[in-house]
Amino acid sequence: MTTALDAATREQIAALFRPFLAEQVTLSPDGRHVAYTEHARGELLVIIMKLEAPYSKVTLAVDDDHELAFSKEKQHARLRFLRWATPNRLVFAPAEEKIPVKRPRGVFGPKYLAPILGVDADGKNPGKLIDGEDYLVTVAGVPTDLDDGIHQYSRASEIVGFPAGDRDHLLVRALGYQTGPTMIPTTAFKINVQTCKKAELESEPILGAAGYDQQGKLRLSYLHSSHSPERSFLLQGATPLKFSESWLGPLAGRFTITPQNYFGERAIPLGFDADPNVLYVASNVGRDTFGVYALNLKTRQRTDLALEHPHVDLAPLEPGYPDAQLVFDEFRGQLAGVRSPGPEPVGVWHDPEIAAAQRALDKKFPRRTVEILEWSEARTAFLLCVTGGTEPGRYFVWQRPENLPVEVMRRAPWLEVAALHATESFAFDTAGGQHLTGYVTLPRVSRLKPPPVVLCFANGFPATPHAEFDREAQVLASMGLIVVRLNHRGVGGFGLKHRAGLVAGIDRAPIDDALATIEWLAARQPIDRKRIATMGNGFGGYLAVRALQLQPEIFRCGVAFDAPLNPNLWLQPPVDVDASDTFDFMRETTRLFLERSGANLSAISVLADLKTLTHPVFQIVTIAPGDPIEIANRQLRGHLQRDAEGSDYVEVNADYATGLPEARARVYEQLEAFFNLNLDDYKVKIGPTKEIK
Amino acid sequence: MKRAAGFLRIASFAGVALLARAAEPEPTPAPEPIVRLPPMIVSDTAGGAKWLYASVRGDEYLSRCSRSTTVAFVASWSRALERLHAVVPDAFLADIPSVTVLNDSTTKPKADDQVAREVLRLDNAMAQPNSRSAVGFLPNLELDGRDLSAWFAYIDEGMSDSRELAISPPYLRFLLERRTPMLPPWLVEGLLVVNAQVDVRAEAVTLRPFIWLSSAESSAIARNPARPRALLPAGEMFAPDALRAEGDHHPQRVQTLRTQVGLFVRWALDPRHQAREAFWAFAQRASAERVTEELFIKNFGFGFSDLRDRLSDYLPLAVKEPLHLEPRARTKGPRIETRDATPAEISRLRGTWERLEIAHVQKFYPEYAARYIAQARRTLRRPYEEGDKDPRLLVELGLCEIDAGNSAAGLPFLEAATAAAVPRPSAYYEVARLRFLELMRDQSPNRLCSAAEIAPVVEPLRRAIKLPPQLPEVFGLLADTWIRARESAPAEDVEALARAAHYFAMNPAVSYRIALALARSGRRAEATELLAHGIDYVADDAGRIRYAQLQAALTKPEPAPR
Repeated sequence: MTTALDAATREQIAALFRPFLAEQVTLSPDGRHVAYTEHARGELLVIIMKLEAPYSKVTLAVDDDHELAFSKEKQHARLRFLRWATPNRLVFAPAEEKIPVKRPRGVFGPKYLAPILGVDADGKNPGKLIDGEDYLVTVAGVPTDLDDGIHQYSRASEIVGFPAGDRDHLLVRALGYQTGPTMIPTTAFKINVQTCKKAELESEPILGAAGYDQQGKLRLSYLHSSHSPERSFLLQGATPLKFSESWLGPLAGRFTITPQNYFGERAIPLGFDADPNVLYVASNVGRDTFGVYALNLKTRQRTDLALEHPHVDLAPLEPGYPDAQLVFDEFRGQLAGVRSPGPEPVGVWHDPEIAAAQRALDKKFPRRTVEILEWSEARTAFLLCVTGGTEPGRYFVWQRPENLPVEVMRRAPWLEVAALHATESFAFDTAGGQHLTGYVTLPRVSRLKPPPVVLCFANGFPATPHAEFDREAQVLASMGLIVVRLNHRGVGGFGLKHRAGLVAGIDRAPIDDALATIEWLAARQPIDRKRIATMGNGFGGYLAVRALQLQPEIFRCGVAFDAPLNPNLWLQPPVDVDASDTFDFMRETTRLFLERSGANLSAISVLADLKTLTHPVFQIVTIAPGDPIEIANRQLRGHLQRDAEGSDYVEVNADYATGLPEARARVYEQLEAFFNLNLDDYKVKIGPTKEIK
Repeated sequence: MKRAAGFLRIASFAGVALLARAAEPEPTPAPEPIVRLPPMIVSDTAGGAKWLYASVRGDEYLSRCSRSTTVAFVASWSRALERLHAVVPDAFLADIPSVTVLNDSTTKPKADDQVAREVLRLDNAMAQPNSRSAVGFLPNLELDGRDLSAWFAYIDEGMSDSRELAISPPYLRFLLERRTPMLPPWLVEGLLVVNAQVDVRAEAVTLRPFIWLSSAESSAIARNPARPRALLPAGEMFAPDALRAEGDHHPQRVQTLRTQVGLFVRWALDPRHQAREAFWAFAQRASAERVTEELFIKNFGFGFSDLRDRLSDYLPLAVKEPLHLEPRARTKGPRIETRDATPAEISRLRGTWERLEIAHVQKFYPEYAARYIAQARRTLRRPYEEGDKDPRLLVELGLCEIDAGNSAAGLPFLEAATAAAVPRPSAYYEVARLRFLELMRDQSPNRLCSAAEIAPVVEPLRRAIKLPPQLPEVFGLLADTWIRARESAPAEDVEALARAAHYFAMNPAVSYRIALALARSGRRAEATELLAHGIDYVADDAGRIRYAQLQAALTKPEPAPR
């Protein structure tokens, strides 16, 4: 059941899934240079552009694309760090590469390729600041002649950033771990970005993530042992804090994370101010969304700082160190604001000047999301990423004295904006009071009038909100479908109530949201009510198939990628032959959350009542023998082959999930045939596409 | 013919340009220093070649060139207008008649005249800026009246065949700015930029590759389409106050805005975008109401941010390729017939030119003004004294006296002309204005007049309103008159003012007055709308405060009827 995609369609998919230009980009402190990444001929490049003379660029080849198992295509190499240390010195680092088979003799652990590099703006004076071998450690007290002569331990690394007020140095830490009885310490390094001289700062055994203050001192540990059902934070230093202290008011005792409160009310330490006595924390205690607040550890008082957004969580459920949400003006040593996590970051600015700039820029780009990425030391130049509508993204440097936004580059200059399908965001309240948001992509041309609809549930669990520009939505729209991407109840990032809304019915609530969205859309846009498909990835895939069971009169077919069709099986611990006492925190948290609704996870399995599933399903399944998801999908496949004509089952490798163009094109080729068969009238020969008037 | 002072203003040399057919495109010449010189006086005809007369589509030509040269000139001018109409539809140009006086270049001023020599030197310099130049310049001057424009030009008899005339930017600006409803400034600038790109040598109407900021910058973008570039957000491109705020005057921003509006017009005219109809519909709406993103989406189907992106993406193509506009169905050129001009025509048309010179000279060379006034009077009075009572002549006589500062002498001529239903709105306006001044003389500023008192003012204004072109000052005076009246304006006048609210919202000289008159006539909603639109075009803070105060006053509840 396949149709050959024509060359133009393959080309279009290849263009859509080609890695964006400038996946990372940075503005020099004097606002005169921009450095950005580019993929070309299987290589990751860093380009340095002088804004006054953009014709003279410096190109640095950084890394080769990597082999990917079971794929002819290569995985695109990525950077993990790209920042200007000074107006003339750029620091960058390709993503750390772990090579288990190349373990050096006498070293425990894999080999890490983890170079951090520095170069001048004109491409001169390149230097390696540090690399994986610099993280090898000899642990005191452990004999060096054990077993096969191991005397050193390798360690992964993490880049912390520049210390406050010192952009000539970079802070890096080698990450410790436990192997058997041996604790391998976490070590911080301070490296001169000009001379590449390294200094080891401190070394401590830590089980979990470590947070440093802006002077490079280890101050915070995020302890999450695989043996404990609790996660906790430990604050060290001259002014240690017990997170249970009464002066914290409602936050006291809310920093411990358990499966019971993970999706509920709690507080999270985020990081330190340039003043090491000020700790920034995120909290949703007593409110719907996570806001950001500050604690003065010395005065033992909460400060007046309160950065909040009525609809968006300003911190992720899982903290990261260094924290990605706090945005500092590193030149002034001040917190500038907070950037929400997720595909569409919302900036909430503490700095009034940056807030004013954001307002001015939002006005310049209506119906777009303007993200202020960086600014020059004098605040005369602002680096922006502008996304939204049909636009995958463009980078601008807003020259404030001239009040001119200079378009520096497009993320995808190979995509013609006028040839893309228009995307609009939507937001409405259902009759039940649910505030729903999402995106609608309208096909430029469609064979059918009115066009059919594919409703996409959000991906994963907890579900990630949809991004404004979505490559897959463009492909689906090219097939003539109206693509609705819904942030239904249960999707993360929109506050407690929205997330907990899933408890009203794990399957029922999102599907009710989908029905409400279709009604809302139909009131505004002609759609073919008889031709509505569902689609989803992970838990969203489960919902896509479940919707066919629960509302077969509404939905005609579905597409599911790696769908956990049987939630109970999905959340079962794996068969543990060794009977270890490890605790899978996220699995138990998810189970507990889903069971809060009182649902019997077995009863809501797609497989529990297969006779109710009579509509065709396009299953995309990653080959993973023994995986409960694959097992459940194979079971469904057998049923569909018998009882749901038109179904299809496609096995994919990691290249599909990675979004590599060839792998995507292969699947979309079959998916188009699936839609032709099940949404279009297959008795009618499909003719050339017609423009919708 | 004796030439008294054959002076041309170098700035106007580019007015009507004679362009050769061959040779490669020339980059936009660098701006030349402007030397302002008093205009030509065409003295009497004794001893000179005979004058020819032609009339085409309401435009009148008086020529001392040969018949063939005159016909070639008129035909070339008609082709230039046809090319213009391929870029700008007639509906977006003011319909204002013109008078053209052509002279053979051999009758140029004598070289012993210092100023004339200066003209000739500039003429030569402009004609041959460098050896590769394909551009020649026709010495000429164009002067605009309220409801008439006039040209004076020298023609080189030996160079007429292979040359094409082009519409000069000042003349096009005049036609665009005098159109009603008024066109927004961004559209006027954009059309000027695009019209300047018309390649007059091409068979089909063709725009040369676009010049973005400079030739060097354009070449750089053509070579590297990914070159960084600054474009203004579309909202700012359409905003009347885009360059007004402190911090918005940077030369780079100013230059970008002026070039970008041209890029937008070019993008819209480019058949590949299939946006031409939407563009003109949008332009039509934009001339009557405030431009909003919603209005733009309604016409184009996408928003301001998409427009900015599309223009940015189009730029590399625009600077690289010429744009062949879809050739319109070529009209058969107008039939051009020349005949010997009558003495009355010679005097009237020459007199018209000389009358228009008065204001120009008064403004720039007041020391010469008396000579020009005397010359115009002499030319116009000769046929009158010989018994010619052509209302067109009477209008010029009246306006000449008014320009000379002798309104009392001018009024009878104008009253006679309007009594004969002359189709010149300026005549009616001047009659009304002089009567209004008379009515208000020595009166308290707060004195209200009766309907009977203002009737002699209102009556000619009503007649002016019925004639093209629509003059803002006519509506301004109508508004002033009814503001000073005790009685309410009749429906006819209120409707005229309501119409004017759409025509002239962008003209701060009249929009406030029209809004006030509308408000007094009970049309508060229209007044409020006009103020909201009009305030965007008021440049000074004090003026904006005045608008805001009236807006605020209008938001108060209307007094209950007694």
